[in-house]
Amino acid sequence: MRNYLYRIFVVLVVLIVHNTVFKFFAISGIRPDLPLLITLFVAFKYGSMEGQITGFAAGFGMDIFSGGLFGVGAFTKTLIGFVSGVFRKKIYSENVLIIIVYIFIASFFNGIIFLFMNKIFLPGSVDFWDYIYRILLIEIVYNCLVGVFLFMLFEKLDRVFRRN
Amino acid sequence: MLSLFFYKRRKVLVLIILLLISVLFMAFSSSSTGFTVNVKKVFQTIVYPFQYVFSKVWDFFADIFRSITQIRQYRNKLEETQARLQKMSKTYQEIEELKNQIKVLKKALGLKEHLQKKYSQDPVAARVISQDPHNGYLTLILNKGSKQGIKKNMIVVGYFKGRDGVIGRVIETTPFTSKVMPIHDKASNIGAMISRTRVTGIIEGRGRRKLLELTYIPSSETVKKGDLVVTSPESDLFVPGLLIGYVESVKEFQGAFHKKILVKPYIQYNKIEIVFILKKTPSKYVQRLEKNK
Repeated sequence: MRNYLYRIFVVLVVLIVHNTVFKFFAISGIRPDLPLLITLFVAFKYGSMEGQITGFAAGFGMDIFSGGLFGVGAFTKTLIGFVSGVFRKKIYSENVLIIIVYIFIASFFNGIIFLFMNKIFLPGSVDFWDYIYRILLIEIVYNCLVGVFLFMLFEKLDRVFRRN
Repeated sequence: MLSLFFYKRRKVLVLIILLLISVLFMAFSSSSTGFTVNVKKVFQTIVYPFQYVFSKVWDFFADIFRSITQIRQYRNKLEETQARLQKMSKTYQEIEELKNQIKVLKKALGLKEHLQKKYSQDPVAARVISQDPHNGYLTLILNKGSKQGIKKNMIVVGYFKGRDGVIGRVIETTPFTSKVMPIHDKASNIGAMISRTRVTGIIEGRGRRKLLELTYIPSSETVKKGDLVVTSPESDLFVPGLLIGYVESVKEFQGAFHKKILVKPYIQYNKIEIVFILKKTPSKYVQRLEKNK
């Protein structure tokens, strides 16, 4: 129970930081996707069950504050949380380069699924090539850069929590 | 036997359930029933106190950091001014400069009164507390909501270099916050007019691209770079005559009925911190359309 409360607290903090603090670190209006990064971290560390639940909570939280398609964040991040958890044993290590490749692939699919869901449920709301060139590419690079440091931070916080 | 089957496949089952919930949300969201809006409102109201406290704490530290930087800047400026004074003794010039600064400050202080007089309404000043968490959307979240009398479709304006310009309109409200769709949004369409020629068209958002597009301007009309674009007097939603931006480029295509006109918005929605919400509600016709939707 304590474990789940801790997870909810972390997701809540990540969402608030994403919504408030990170707007100051935006490059051309693009912020790193912190909820995606926490989903990836949990999935890699604890498996697909924890990953998908964290992904759902983080994505749902994003959707609440979004003016766009409701549920799209929950869908993409649940799926990514699950898949990352399935593959974690095969590829996850503490090697920085591998983490970057991980984040790169996950961010790419996160963007592509987001696009397709919008195409299906809210056609015309997002411009395909505009999203790819002006948003997704910057977001992927930014996620990779910030993700490495955040993974280290999450790892440390996780260790402190486990010790206590 | 059955429970063992489910237990073994619990991960996949949870995945299917979570994905189904998400798809249901998306289906409801796209069919514009009020269900998803209500779900959002409940959760936003729960999360708002946390967001507010966090935002305040962050502002506190940001202010300290900003103050330190400003003190440094002021110190440097002071040294420069002293040196200049000793060298040139151009006191008169400095007094003139101070006078201008006072004028600017007075103007800034009179913002609210200006808008009040201009639109005969009492505008509500609000702060942009966050931007849309999804990078694909442009929605802004303001710290004023239905408790302060904000309603859907109210107009949001900003103030830049002594002039006010359109930022967007309110699309959703909660008791303490409201969401604004900026004119840059791809879903945004505004009735607009070229001030010089009085020709009307539609201003359409182009997502994260900096320029807007002015559509439905006939090829026969003369449009020049730098022409002022304002909200149309025929608009049921917007106050007429609000500044949108300036014509940046005009392209004509052979055989086409309309010109392709790009407009540079006067106010960049993502660079503004304080906005004003005009308490003008849309005409009855628009309200009826909204209801029927």
